[in-house]
Parts: sequence; structure tokens; C-alpha cells
Amino acid sequence: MKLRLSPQTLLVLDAFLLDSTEWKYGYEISRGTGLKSGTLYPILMRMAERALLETAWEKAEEPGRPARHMYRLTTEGLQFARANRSPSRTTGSERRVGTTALGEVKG
Amino acid sequence: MGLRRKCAQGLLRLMMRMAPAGSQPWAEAMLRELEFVDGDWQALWWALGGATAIARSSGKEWLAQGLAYSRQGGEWAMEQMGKKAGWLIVGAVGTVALSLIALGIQFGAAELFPNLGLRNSMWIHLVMVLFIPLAICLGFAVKIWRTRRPVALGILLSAVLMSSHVILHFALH
Repeated sequence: MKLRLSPQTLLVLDAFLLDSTEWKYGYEISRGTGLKSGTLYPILMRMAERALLETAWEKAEEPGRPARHMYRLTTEGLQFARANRSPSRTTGSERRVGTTALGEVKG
Repeated sequence: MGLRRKCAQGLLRLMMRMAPAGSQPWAEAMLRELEFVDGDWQALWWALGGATAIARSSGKEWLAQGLAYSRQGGEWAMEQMGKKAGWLIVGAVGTVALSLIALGIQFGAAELFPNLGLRNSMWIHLVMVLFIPLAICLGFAVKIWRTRRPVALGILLSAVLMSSHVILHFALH
């Protein structure tokens, strides 16, 4: 069940914790965290393997628009994320994710 | 759609096909997200990163599959080679056997009908032991060329060897 808490993993956890009930898309997380797909997806895969992340396919609302893969923390994942973020790191990363979400880091 | 985006799509589709079952949804997810990536260069980088991620997660499984495949493939190839060699020998030995039977008939006929002078005639010997059996065998080889090629090749091999023997005989004597 252990997940290596690299700075990148923490960024991903932070991104999920911003609104833990919402489903998120890969590209959205990538833009929010500034992580490239080659870094982001292995983290998502590991989280899903350890049942920290729930995945689902979006139901395509518009014809011709591809259904996207969505991600959300499981209850276990939420506990794990909260337990592994110290208050100082939380503040820092929240600030970082907040700024990237505003588009200061390229997608 | 730009060339770079097409390349990106092609790369992720390829990864989706190649990925083991566990990684396929992830490759598909990256492919679908590609539609939402702004800019062709960014799309290409997205695909390259995605392909790397899939390759990293699938590496061990690919290696295991590759080893199993090569092992099975090797055994299969050996078995096939063994079978082909067997049929080749059947063709070659069959041709020689037919020539020997013809030789036996020639000697038998020479014994039965000594007045015909069959024993001492070189041309009769050539026709009976070489030309007729080889014509029969070559006709058979042509007929089975598509269905039993190793046998046909065995026949051809024998035909070449026997013809070479005759040519060498004439050249030396």
C-alpha cells in the first residue's frame, strides 16, 4: 500500500485535494501541476494500483467528442493524502497548485 | 490536423495496441486526452511522455512475453525444420529408390533377353536409369510443388546430384 512520496506525487495529491469530490482529467491535472504526461501518468497508475485512486470513463455528452478518463481519490486515497501532507507542505503546494491553475505554469 | 498531431495520435494508438491488458486503458486515456491538448507541439510532447509512461509500466511484461514467445517460437521453428528436413529426405531417397528399381529392371531384362544387348548399351542405361525415373520424379515434383515443397525440393536435389554424376562421368571418360 506504500506510495513513494516524491515531490511530483505530492503535487498530484494536492491537485486532488483541492476538490476531492470532483472527477479530474489527466490533461487538467497536468496543467494544474505542471507535470508532463510521462511523469503524471505513472503516478496515477501507481495510485490506482494501490486503490488510492478511482478511475472511470466519462459518458460522452456530445457525439464525436471522445469520452475521457476521469480520476478521483478513493476514501482510502483521501485519508492517505491527508495523512501524508504536513501543514507547511500543504500550504506551499496548495499555493503552488493554485497559481498553476491560474495558468502561470505552462500545460 | 497537423503532421505532429497525427504522429502523436499514431504513437499513442500504437502504444495502445502494444500495451499489455493492464496498461491499455491508460494508453487509451492518454490518446483521448490528446484531443484536448492545445497546440501540435504540446500534443507531440504529450504523446511522447505518454508512450514513455506506458513503456515503463509495460517493460517487464513485454520482456516476459518476448522471452516466452521466442522460446515457443524457437521450439516451433525447430519442429518445423525437422519436419521439412524429413520430407526433403523422403523426396531425395524416393528418387534414388526409383532409379535403383529402374536399374534392377534393366539388369533383369538384360538377363531375360540377352540377345537385346541391354547390358552394354550406355544410352539404354541412361534412358532407363536416369531419364525415365527423373522425368517421372520431376513431373511429380511440379505437381506437389505447392502442397509438399520439401518433398519436391528433395526430388530436385536428387535429380541435380544424379545429373551431375552423369555429366562428370561423360566429362572424365
